Amino acid sequence: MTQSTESLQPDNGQFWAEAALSRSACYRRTAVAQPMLAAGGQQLPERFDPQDVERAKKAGVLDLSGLLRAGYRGAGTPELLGNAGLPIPARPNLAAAGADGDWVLRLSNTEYWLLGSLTNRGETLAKLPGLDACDSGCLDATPDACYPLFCMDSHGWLMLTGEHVSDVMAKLCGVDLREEAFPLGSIAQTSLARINGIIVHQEINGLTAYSILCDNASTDYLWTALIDAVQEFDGGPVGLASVVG
Amino acid sequence: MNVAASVSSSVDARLPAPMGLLLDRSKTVQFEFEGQTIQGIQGDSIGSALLANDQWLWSRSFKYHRARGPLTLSGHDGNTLVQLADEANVLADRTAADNGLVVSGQNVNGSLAKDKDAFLNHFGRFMPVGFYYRAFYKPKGIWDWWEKHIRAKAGLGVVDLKGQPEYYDKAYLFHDIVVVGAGPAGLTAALTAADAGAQVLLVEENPILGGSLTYADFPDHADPESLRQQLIGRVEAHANIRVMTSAICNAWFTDNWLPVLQGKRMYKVRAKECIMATGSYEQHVVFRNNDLPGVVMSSAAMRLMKHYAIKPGQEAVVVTGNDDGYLTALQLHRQGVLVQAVVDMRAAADSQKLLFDVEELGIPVLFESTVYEAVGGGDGDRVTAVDVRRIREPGKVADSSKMIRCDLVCMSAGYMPAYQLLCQAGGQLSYDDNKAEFSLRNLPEILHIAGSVNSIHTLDAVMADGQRAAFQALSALGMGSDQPLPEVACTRRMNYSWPIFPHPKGKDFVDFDEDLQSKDIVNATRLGYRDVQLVKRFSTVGMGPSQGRHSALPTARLVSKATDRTVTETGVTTARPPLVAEKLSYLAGRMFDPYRETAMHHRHKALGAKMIPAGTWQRPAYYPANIGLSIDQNSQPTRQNRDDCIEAEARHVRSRVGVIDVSTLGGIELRGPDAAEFMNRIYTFGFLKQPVGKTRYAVLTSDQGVVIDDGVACRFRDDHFYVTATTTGVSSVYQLMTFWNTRWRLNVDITNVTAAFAAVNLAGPDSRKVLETLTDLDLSAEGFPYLACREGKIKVPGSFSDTTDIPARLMRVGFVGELGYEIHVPSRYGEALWDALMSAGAAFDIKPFGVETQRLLRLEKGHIIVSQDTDGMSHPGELGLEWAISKNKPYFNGKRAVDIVMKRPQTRKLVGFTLPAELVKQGKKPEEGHIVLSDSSATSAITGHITSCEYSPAVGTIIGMAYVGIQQSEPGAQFPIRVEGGQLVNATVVELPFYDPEQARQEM
Repeated sequence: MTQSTESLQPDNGQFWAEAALSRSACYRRTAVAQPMLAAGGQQLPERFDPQDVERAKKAGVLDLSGLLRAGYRGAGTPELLGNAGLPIPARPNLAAAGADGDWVLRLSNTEYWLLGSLTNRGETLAKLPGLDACDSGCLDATPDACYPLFCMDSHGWLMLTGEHVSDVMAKLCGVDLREEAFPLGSIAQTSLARINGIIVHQEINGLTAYSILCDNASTDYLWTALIDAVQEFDGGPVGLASVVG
Repeated sequence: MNVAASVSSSVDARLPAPMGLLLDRSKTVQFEFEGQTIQGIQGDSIGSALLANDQWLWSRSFKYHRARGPLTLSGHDGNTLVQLADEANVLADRTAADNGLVVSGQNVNGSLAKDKDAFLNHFGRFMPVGFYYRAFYKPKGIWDWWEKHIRAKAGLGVVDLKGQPEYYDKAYLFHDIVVVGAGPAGLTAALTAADAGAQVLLVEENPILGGSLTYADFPDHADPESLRQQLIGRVEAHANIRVMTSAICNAWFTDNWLPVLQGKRMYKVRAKECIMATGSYEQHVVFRNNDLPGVVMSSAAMRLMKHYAIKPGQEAVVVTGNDDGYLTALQLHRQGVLVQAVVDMRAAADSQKLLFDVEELGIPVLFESTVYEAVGGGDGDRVTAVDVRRIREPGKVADSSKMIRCDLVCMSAGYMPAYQLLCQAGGQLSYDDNKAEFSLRNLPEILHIAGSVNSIHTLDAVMADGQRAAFQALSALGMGSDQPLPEVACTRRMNYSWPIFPHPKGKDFVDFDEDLQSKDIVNATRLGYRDVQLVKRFSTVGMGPSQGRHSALPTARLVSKATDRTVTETGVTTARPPLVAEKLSYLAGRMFDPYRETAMHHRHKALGAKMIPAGTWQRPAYYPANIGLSIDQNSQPTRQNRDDCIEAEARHVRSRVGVIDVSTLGGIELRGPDAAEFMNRIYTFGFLKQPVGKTRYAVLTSDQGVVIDDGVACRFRDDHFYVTATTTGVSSVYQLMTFWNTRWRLNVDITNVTAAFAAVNLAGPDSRKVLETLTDLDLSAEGFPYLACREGKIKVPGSFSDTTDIPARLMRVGFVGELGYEIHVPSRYGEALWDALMSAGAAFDIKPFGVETQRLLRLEKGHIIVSQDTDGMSHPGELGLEWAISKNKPYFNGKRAVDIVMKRPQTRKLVGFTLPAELVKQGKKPEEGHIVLSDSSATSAITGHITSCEYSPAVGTIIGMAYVGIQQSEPGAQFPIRVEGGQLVNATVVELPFYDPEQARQEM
């Protein structure tokens, strides 16, 4: 299957993402997929068609913006992570997977972002304190010098999967993201397709996966850039089910 | 001609295998050339297929329209440029023959065979070197007449203006070692490096690997093809080597940044180490008519036989300055060509064995002789004979002549290193007088050379040199052994020192691209252009498609002799990227054009908004549908449409309720014990005592005392501020804040949350009523007064899978001068917020309004927009913002400069003005940028300009803001504005705001 970069209107004219108040910035692009619920009741694309799995193995593009993610900054953050039983990567620009499949991204000495587990759809992270960064009361829920960040809203979350991830990224990004130079758990905070992005090398059920966190307002743009880039590898959009079964 | 019979013969007449390395003889291809059907074999180039059909005339030369055919057969010369239906300047000897191609000659007036401009060949003496610089400009103005005629004659090929864009793109590649050139040196280097564990990229411009092994014969190796098979077998099987064929490394940039063109993609290659094994270009002999079809490089004849199985002629003469000519003669003989003579410019052959082999075949060898002139049958015909003469002294021949019949002349005067990429890297050429050849030195440490580009010519030494270069690169990568690098040397002399034989009648070409003869180069020096760079610019030598591959060496020799300098002193002209002509599509293809969309973007589009850019954002300017108009996004509404929409939306906000998406507003979050102290140091106002739950206007000044941004600071807790910034200014503001906090080390966390929040401004007398249906907050004037801010929930009725409450930050602001609420929510909820407000507002006839309407509404209130009503000089005093400058604190960003500029005598001021409404209909309404004059006299000075101006339906006049001279700035003063067409209108200065000066409406 190939998909153009144009938005796809569902047959019934109703976008499934609108069943929730919380919506991905590029939900129109995944309108033809079957939806599924994430923790918190947000909607995610589960499956586009029977070829999802094959596409995911080659070069799949997944919109995970509806899946829970959180961020904390400040000297008090390791205490919060420790209390939650989450791993603390040894240095900035490294990521580590938690026991439930959550990922902890260390972006600087004191800044950590957390990506919800694809397997339990963010359930573990939902228990963390101060998730509602918009509420100034969140500061009371976290340790001293631990400031909740806004990455659920400031950044969209796209994922690139399959054997061609580094080939696809080579079309978008000037950083060497081949596996030998960018091993599992590496993070690149860089520019791709002329926007800022945070790229994380993960592995999901044995499948190579690069999470890309980008400016939320640019998520739709990056989706089209990625879909265009994966075409030559017989890739395309995929649902969450294609990577977690 | 019987096409079918011709087709059959062109295929059947090929030489038997192993000749024809590139051919798949099981398939044929057919295309059209100059209206004739040409049949070739799969693997043919356009050029080889033409030659197989005995078509030696391919194009016409640039200046004299001389007949031109193949020269190098390697894609390295401009003789082979042909026209395709949809593409000009296609190299016939590089482009694959394909079914259905429509090919024609270039630079032709009429047909290729009967070019009406061929007569120019006889007018060469009227077109000496640089004639176009010295003609056509006198008398004054005559150039305008000449230009159109010259332009009609100049230029190569025809662009297809109806062509459709094709998909080109770019990609990065990263390798430890990049080897450019897959000849014997490059193959050996790649294998050596890969065996040591390096990740190697091997780049080859031809479709097959092997370089000279694919076509050349070697005195020190009897079976180059088996060697090639052995090498490429290992290369192709090697896990550490990636091979790119038909790929051109088109430049060298700092740190081994290499653009490699392959197919429709430009690879931006990053190499830790680079080995250039780019080989060398065979050089021609300069004699009269050395451009006739049938006069080719020896290597071209070899390629024709070995690559394409084409017998290049019936009778051949080989003119040579090295032993390669003998190898060519032997191969020609083996393939059935009658070699009439080997004309050797030297006194003796280096290899007695080769001489013996040639002479044993009965081929005469004429030493110390040269071809002095080639003779053709007529315009467009192939060479028929050569005039061979003894060489008396360098460049001069005896009078006695020996005519030898032939239809093929093979030239081998020596080799020039493929120096261009290396000189781009800073390499320098130095000339060895003994070997009469250039060599390269002073290369960057991360760049290595191997093989004939390194003046190594014997095959064993070439391969050893490839290995040496690889060891060098590996050592730099820390992957080498401790063994000393092997010494590689080559004493084989390949170049004849002076293969230039000027003829009194000229047409002895040094540069085929530009039709430059030997006398043209010499004459350029006599005209005072002694430096080779000046010779290039005056004569255009080396500026054609070949880029000096064959003209650089003879030009250097000629200039050095004419100026009495050494060849090293003379040098060659600067080599600049790109190496070969690069299609613009490589640069233009797959450009990234980022855009940003607010969470409500698609709602605006669904409502038919006219969108306008704001940085990378798209914002609704206004909504034509509000007044029943339907305007396509791609069409431009009339001025009247625009004004009607804006006025209608403005009236609606003033009378009912409107909503505008302000998500693009910048947002910065400051949290921590020192948040208030930090705010106090950055912005001009005092913030230490700002009450929780209140907003405050925040002005930011630069180190020059100029107002550079403004916003609203909300204090939600003692240790928490949320401050807005302008759409385009927020990045700079955030950068400034983080810069200062790195120095101040205050205990505050600063986060740019622009994209994290979606926001609307709900404004109008009914805005409270709309909002009351969606929140439990006390919205009364007392409970939520003007300039207050609150945190709360927006309750959204309906059945949703996640929640029915949206967390929100609300602030009462007066930007548009009505009761209003800015509502900021996490961006994931932005669209739902819009839907909720539009739904709840339906009962109050809510309508969306756009940025253009907001600009009018705020103008009516006299609120400035930073960067529209300010410029790079605007200090707070000019803007009437003295009230926003705290005088009670020791510091804020830009304070010292603000103090200084505010104390200076003020020369201009931003004021409000009015004009009668009827000027709109008269077309005299001022526009932004129109100038303000000191008076209406002819000698008036410019004192300012208009920054904002609109017709105000609320005020009933034209209103605006303008910078005026300080003497014009008092209320009641009048000042002239020069409007469209140069007319003057007199505006009257008024107190701001224009609308609701009591502020009653926004504070209700």
